[in-house]
Amino acid sequence: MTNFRQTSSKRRNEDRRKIIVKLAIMLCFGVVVVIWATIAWFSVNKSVDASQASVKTSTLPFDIATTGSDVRHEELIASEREAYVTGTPGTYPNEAGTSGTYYTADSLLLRYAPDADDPTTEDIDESQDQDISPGSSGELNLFVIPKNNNALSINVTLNVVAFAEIDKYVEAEDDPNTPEVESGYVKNGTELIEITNAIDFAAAANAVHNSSVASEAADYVAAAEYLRGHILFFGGEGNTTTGAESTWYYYTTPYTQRVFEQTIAAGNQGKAIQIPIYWMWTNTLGQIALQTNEYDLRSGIPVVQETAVDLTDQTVTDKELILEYLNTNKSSVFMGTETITESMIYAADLSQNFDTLSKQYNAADYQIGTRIAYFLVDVLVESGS
Amino acid sequence: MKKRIKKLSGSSLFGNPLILAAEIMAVALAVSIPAYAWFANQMKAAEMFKVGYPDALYINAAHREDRIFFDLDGIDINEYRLDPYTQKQITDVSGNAIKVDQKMYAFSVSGSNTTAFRLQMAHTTNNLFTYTLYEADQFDNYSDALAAANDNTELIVRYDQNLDSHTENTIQVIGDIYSNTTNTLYYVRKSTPLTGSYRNSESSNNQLGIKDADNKYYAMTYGDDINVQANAVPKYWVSDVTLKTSGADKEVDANKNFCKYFILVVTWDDNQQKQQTEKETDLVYFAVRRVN
Repeated sequence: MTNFRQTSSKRRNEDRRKIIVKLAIMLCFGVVVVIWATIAWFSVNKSVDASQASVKTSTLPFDIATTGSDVRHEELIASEREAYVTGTPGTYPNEAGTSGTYYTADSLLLRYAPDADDPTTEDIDESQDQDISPGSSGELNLFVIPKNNNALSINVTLNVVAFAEIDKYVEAEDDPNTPEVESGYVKNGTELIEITNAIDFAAAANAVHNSSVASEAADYVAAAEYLRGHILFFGGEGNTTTGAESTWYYYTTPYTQRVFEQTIAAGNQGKAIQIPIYWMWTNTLGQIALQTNEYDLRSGIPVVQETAVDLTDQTVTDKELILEYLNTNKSSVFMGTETITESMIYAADLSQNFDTLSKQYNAADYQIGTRIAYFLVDVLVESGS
Repeated sequence: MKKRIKKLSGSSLFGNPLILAAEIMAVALAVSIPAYAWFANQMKAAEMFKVGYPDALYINAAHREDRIFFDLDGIDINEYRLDPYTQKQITDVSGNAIKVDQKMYAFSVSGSNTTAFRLQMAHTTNNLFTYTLYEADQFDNYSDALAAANDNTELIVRYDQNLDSHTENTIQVIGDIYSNTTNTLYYVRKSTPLTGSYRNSESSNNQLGIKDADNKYYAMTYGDDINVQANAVPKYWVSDVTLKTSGADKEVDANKNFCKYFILVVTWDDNQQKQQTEKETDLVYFAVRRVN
């Protein structure tokens, strides 16, 4: 009896142990599945496959979306910013109720329509995907799709990231006939490098054996800063079609802080609501800085409406915001040895001021053009207050 | 049961598979929670653009010096010719000084990312001079210039560089780098003039070609005002210049920069000048614009 008891107790212990082992294996497996799922969750967003659209991570009360058939420089972004994906297509109505195809993802590549030359993108012929230069402008195709019918608020942060495309060098094979002579390095394609700071940029340039670019790292960083200074963002379109041409202007609501809050009215669940974001690389200083064109200094249409600036409160009108922006960002807008002062900016129509400001604005443009190959407009969308 | 709990509590943290599993689970949760939170609070969108190479176009004095150094000084038709190297008078075979029959001025058109441009010369006609433009080559050595000119000193323009003279245009062209020196340069004009034509016709309305059929060029300068002396109305001469972008003699460097030199040659009819006793001032304007 004792024996039996002992045996049965042993067996029970063995059974318990087995259960524990099984449980442990299951838990381990569970962990593996969880990790797996997490990995899948990361990679799922890369896929355009509609069948995996159900994997949504966000607890935000909205999705972001874009529309259009093409993505600019998709492979390049993929190589520099892995997280960005082309998104999952779906059909959504817009605010007016017209249905269309929109692509959604948490890290989304914005799209454009190349088939029609969009008149809102001055100087960019979409069919040719033309390069961007001073005078270029465009609109980001960003939409928000609310997940419920509540009114919501979003915060948008805009950032411009510059990339340089530099010559890449590889070590040449030494000539076996003259082993004492080192063949050195030969050019072998180009390398795209994000411009962050001078030390990292120089290191990246040295990594592809381009010491001449590495030695100019500070100039590349400066050019990236000028690019950030010269690309302006706006929230609304101006008037370039009706009335006298002298009253025309491109945009309203300059986002000079690169951050803005947008509210979306209640009752828009499942609708693609556009977040209007326009950008412009203004061609001439006269289009930005002049408060009037009394002396005929300006060439081109002003970027925002020209108004006289009230010096007591300088951040009310669009023009005041722009001038304040020029004043606080002098070092990223102007390039030159002569110091730019606040009084020069607020009296840009004096011809000697205008000459100096224009010259320095153009010099910075030239630096951008010679050193920057690509730029990325990074849009961060967060839940607002 | 008591034993087992004892056993469990007595076991090491890594010895028991259950605890180990729980630990892994906890770690996995700890890792995944911040990652999840990060994604949940924001979304990102991006668009990438390619920046075009800047297209700059400059018109400057010789060697891309500031425009102020392009100096059309007074023309004295009674001057004698000077040797461009020694700056001394040239004599003919019988030892006599030779009168000038032309004046030459070098200037440059330079820029980047440009393959063709339109060069325009506008000038008034007070002095009845003839203005002709030639392409030119630059030499920093007189003997090379003389060789290129086939020993014809009449094709050579001497140019003494100025200090601090590159404030307007800082483009460096490979093979034609400027530095802050006062060295002398020599420009040798090509044998044939630049091809181009006057835009306003020579004869209409009897005003030295001032008014064309639709009155376009006249109106641009003087509007509706018709009380303008004919010679004070500019004539517009235009030439389209296309740069060679390939081959051994290509004019655009590896950085897409270029610099082309031109020589303005002013000539006159000696007899006509002798009859015209009252000398006037003429204005000559040069302008360039991209055509590509």
